[in-house]
Amino acid sequence: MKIEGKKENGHIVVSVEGRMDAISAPEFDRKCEEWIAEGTSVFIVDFSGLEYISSAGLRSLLVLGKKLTAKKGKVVIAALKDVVKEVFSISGFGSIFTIVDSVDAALGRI
Amino acid sequence: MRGNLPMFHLRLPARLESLDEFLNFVSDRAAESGFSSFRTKEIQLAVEEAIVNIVRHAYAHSPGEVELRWMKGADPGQVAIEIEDAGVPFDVRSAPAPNLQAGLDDRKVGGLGAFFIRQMADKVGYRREADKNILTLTLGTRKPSSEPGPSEAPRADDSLGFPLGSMTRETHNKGDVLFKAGDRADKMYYIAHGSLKLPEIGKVVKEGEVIGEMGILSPFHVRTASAVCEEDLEAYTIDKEDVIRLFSRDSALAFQLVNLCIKRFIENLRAETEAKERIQSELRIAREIQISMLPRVFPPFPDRTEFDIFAVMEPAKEVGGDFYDFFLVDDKQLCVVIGDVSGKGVPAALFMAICKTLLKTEALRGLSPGDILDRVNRTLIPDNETMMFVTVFLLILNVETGEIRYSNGGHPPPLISAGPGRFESLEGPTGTVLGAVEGYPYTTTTRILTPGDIVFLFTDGMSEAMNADQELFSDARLISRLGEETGKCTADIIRHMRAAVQAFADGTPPSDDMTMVALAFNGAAHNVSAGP
Repeated sequence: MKIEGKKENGHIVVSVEGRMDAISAPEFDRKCEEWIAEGTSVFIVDFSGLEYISSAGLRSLLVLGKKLTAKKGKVVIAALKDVVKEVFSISGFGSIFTIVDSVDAALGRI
Repeated sequence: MRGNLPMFHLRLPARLESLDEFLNFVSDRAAESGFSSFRTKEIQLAVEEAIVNIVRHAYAHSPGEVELRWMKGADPGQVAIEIEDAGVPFDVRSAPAPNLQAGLDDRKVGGLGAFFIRQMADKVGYRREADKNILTLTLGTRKPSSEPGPSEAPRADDSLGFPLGSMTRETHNKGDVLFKAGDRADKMYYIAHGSLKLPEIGKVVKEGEVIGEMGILSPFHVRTASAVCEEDLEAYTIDKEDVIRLFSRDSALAFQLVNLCIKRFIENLRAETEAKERIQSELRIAREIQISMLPRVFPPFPDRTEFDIFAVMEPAKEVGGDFYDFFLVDDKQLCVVIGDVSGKGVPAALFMAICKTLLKTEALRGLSPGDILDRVNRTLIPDNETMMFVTVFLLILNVETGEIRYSNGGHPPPLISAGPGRFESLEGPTGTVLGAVEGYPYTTTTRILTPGDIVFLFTDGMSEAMNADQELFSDARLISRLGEETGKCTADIIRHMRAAVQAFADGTPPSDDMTMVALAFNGAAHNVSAGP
């Protein structure tokens, strides 16, 4: 998994590439924890490069969402594709988060 | 021996660090089975959730291992994945379903793993067996009740494997005998764990291999070898009827099995042939050693005009024990020996080598023929645990006087020329064979040869040579045929007699070695020339 964050005006675009599974999800948790600690409360998660996600990845997103809610922040998830999209769909995560087609669309939502 | 019937398995420590390897393994197997990359990820998801569950729950308090087995499913295009752990009992099917409608605030962290497993598999099975949790996921090419997924999931290819799910699982302990040679063969085994030894043929059958298929597929239905567990064993068995049913359902697997059998047959055949060839070549070497021990350069003493000697040993197919020898004891005495060791094969050849050496050693001490046989007999007996014996006729010719002294240890008496066109037995007591009776008295007989006399020594391989009608060449025929040879040189005599026996046998292969030695006394040549 490759994870990159680009901060702009109080929000951050987090690009996640590769696989978000039980091995890599903790890294996502750590990075997000740092960005939250730096005061970021609006997260745009770009999943256009994400190929796989398991319940561990969903769990990280859920934890992130809960933390940000507590800080009056928010998570927008952009560009789900194939299996990742399916996993969101069957798990009901599509209705937990704001899901958009692209990072641009996400920027319009914040 | 390696039957690569594709049941694959991977066993790793139950740690998150093992996950990548498990998932790569699954990805490789899925690709081999022709699953789409989309479906492969779904399968990986189910497997990841199962393994994470095991790491987090089953082995929460103690380390352990996880094994994943990738097998062919009961239906074409299906695979069955078994995931086994030895942790605390845990049936993933009993995990509560997550509340999929809950919003972010109410949604519980966790609980999705078991849900994904159930979502991705056609069937989720669980059994607790021998203190192990075994989760079985039956997976088709598409997720059941699929969302509109990938456009066209490719059909599973013809990758083969046993539907272990529909086979019977057996466990055995180290040292157990699975079956014995000669038992009725009623089922075949797939070895999932452990190894078997086949003591009769010295083979080991390991994990992932199949055994017993020959019993099922060959017409004899009898085990050709025993199988003993070298380690604790886990096997899956299938009987003949189920194999037949399987064949009608999965012709590719049938082909694979038949292929495996043919491979085994060829391997067995090759092993047997190699063993046979090895023995054959050992026998050939023994034979060559035996023959190389006999003097074969003729004339052996080109500067000796007093006598003329020629010999041949015609080996039968097997290594036998015939031998002959001749050597000068001193300037005036020629020793001639012929013998026949009981038995055949390498032991007979070795015994023959011992006898020949002992006889020569004793003869070179200058003893009389009777004493030579006596001493050799005494030497042979204490060491003769194999109860082999040897017939020996030993003769010493004084080349100046024509005196022959001889002793017989159970050998057919030689023939001696008795005037033109006639041969007769060389008279004298026939003692007993050497190596049998300790202290048996061997006597020495003396006779004077006149120049032109021929002594013909032979083994019973000659007089007992047989033709297709089972008639023997016989002593009578030998004597009569030899009568035609008086006055000829020894090399010719031997050549003619050999041809006569071959003509008589007329292609019937000899059952015994055949040895002939012809000795002609020419008279003390230098005496003749040392005239006035």
